[in-house]
Amino acid sequence: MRGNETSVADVNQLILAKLQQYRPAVAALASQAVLLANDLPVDDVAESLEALLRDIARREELDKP
Amino acid sequence: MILHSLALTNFRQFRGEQKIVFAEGAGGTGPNVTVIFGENGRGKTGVFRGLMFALYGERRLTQDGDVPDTELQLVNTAALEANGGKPVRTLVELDFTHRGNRYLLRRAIEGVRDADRVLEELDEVYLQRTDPHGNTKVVNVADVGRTVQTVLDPRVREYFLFDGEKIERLTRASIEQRHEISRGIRNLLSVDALDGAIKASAKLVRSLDGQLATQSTGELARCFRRLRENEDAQEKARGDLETLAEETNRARTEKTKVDQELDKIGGIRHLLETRHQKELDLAGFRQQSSDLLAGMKQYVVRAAGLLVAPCVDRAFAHIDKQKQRGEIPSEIRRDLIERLLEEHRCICGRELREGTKPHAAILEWQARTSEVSLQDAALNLWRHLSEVHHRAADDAAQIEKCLLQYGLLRNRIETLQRELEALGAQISGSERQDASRLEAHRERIEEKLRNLEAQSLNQQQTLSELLTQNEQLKAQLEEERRKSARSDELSRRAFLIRETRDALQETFASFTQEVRDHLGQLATGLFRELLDAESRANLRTIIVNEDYSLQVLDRWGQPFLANISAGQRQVMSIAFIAALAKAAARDTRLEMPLFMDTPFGRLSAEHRQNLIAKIPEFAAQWVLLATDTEFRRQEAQWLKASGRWGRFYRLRPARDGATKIEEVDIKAVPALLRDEASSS
Repeated sequence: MRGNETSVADVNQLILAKLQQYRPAVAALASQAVLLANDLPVDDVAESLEALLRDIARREELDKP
Repeated sequence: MILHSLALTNFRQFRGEQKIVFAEGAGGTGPNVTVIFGENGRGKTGVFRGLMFALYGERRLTQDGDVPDTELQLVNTAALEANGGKPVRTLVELDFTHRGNRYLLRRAIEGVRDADRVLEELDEVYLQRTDPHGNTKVVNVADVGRTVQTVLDPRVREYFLFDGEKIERLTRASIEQRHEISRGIRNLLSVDALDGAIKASAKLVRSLDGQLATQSTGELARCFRRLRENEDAQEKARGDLETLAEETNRARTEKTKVDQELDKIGGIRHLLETRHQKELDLAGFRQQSSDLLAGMKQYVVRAAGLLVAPCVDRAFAHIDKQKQRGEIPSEIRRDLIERLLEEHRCICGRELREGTKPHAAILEWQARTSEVSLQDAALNLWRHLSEVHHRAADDAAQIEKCLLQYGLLRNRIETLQRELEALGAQISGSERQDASRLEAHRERIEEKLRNLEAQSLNQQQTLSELLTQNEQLKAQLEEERRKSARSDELSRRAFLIRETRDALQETFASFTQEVRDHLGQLATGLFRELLDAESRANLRTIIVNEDYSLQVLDRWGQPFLANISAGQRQVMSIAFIAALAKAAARDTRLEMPLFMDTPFGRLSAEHRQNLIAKIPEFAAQWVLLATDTEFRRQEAQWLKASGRWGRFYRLRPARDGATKIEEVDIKAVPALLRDEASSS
């Protein structure tokens, strides 16, 4: 069995690559959620994600032609 | 991970220090099998418990069930008695290698008798690591757990270190099984982070939906609310389906038990066999009927076209006639005719005078032509009508064929049901009262199963409608979002996080699908290697279903799990466990030991032989805990023939009621074992 750390890194790479097929705002938010969830419990991930969500939603509105 | 030795001191049945040195399989081809042999109650599970205690500090095994902690005493009772009330130190020491590093792991507890109970307290946790260069370092006590987890994650340990009961659980299509496999797959994938991300985004979805419901009154907010309600209803429908599946499973198990009881009653065996065959036929016809109905749905959707078929046919015939007459498209262009009439000159150069025959002919041509755009439209309409006209004919023929087949199937099903009723009456009419009672019980279970099946179909239909509704609501939500270009920020965030959650869920689903397929392929390969020749001819493929239950397909690709024997189920589970292990090792040879407690219980001789020949090839190391009824002279001969048998330990009763672990030379083992005749 390969070491746990190696296997988690592999899986993370595969997940992040799969998430790139979604529109940029969704891909950015989902990828960040996965990266945060590697180290933080669910409640903390939700809290950090809320701030990022606010930021991305605002930026997306500003970038509209 | 390769195990070198396990030393137990005053642990459970083992008084004083006793040690097991494991066969290590040097170089990947040397002896890698260790057999620990003993009668029931002699301490095989104590060895397994010692390994789990050393690795994870856990006193409780899955098989302990509801046994209270106070009864799970680790300190050897005889040692306590002999020590006259003084504390006794219990020690488990595991020596192993993982990824080039050698580890010595020790856990000790101290136990003392206090009136009629024994108090036990953790005394020491020690882990030292020696790297490939020979440098030794003691791991900080606080880091021992984390270090052990990197060697073997406790959540996947059950696949490598398991008992016979564990194997059995994997073969039952229960919710417990599905959850277990689901957990295994998650562990295998290390998708905990993805799982955490889904949960966090779902939490935000709920939070923002709640805010929208209280702060907004627009159509967008209504859409979000309806979507939320739809998702809640989906969750409930899925939960209900799981409960129904579990109840169905229980009823089926009960029916199997009744059948086994009935089978013991003489005089009706041939009736039972006939019934069993007819029930299999009935299940097959029901499946065909259900598949046919599912296939007919596509025609039903188009059946509305058949209602307007006469109008379509008339319109098609009308235009087609015009086309055949050369009116569509007209042979001469209208603008050319108009130019000839305007210039009063024929295409051949002659003058066209009004009232003459050629002039009248040109006028007739003019009447038969129409605008180019109209001609194009008519031609397009002709093409579309032609398509509908022909498809309607095909659909009508297909529907007729399906209805005919369905009718035939229904007839067969009804005939079989009548025959089964008659057989049931014959069985219950048997002179034996117990047969009659069991048959009545069986009929009640059958009735229950029919009700459960109907409820399950209803729930599936409900879920399917909810999913369709969900798609419509999402489309509506997107439309509303587009309409309100300046939608408020809260709605924008709610929309974005919902999309993010869906993306994470889709990614998770696609991952598990890939792994299920991969596991199914690996398990099938191993399963077929382990099966006996007769089973191999019939059992072809292991499928890991969407709900994580296992299924086996027969040579015709039909589900066959309900008909396989307990031994075949056990082999299937071992194949699945080996597939999980192989997949976890990324398809290389396992670097994990397989530690199996009494796995041979229900296996036929050929299955045992295959397992004994193949497992040492799959696994880097195999530790087999076996009873005297599982490991006999025959098994010893097979194991010896594999060339992989390294060590043999016998658990012997000692005079003080404790157990002595005694190594026996392999050559001397057959003399200690039962042979086939005495075991049967």
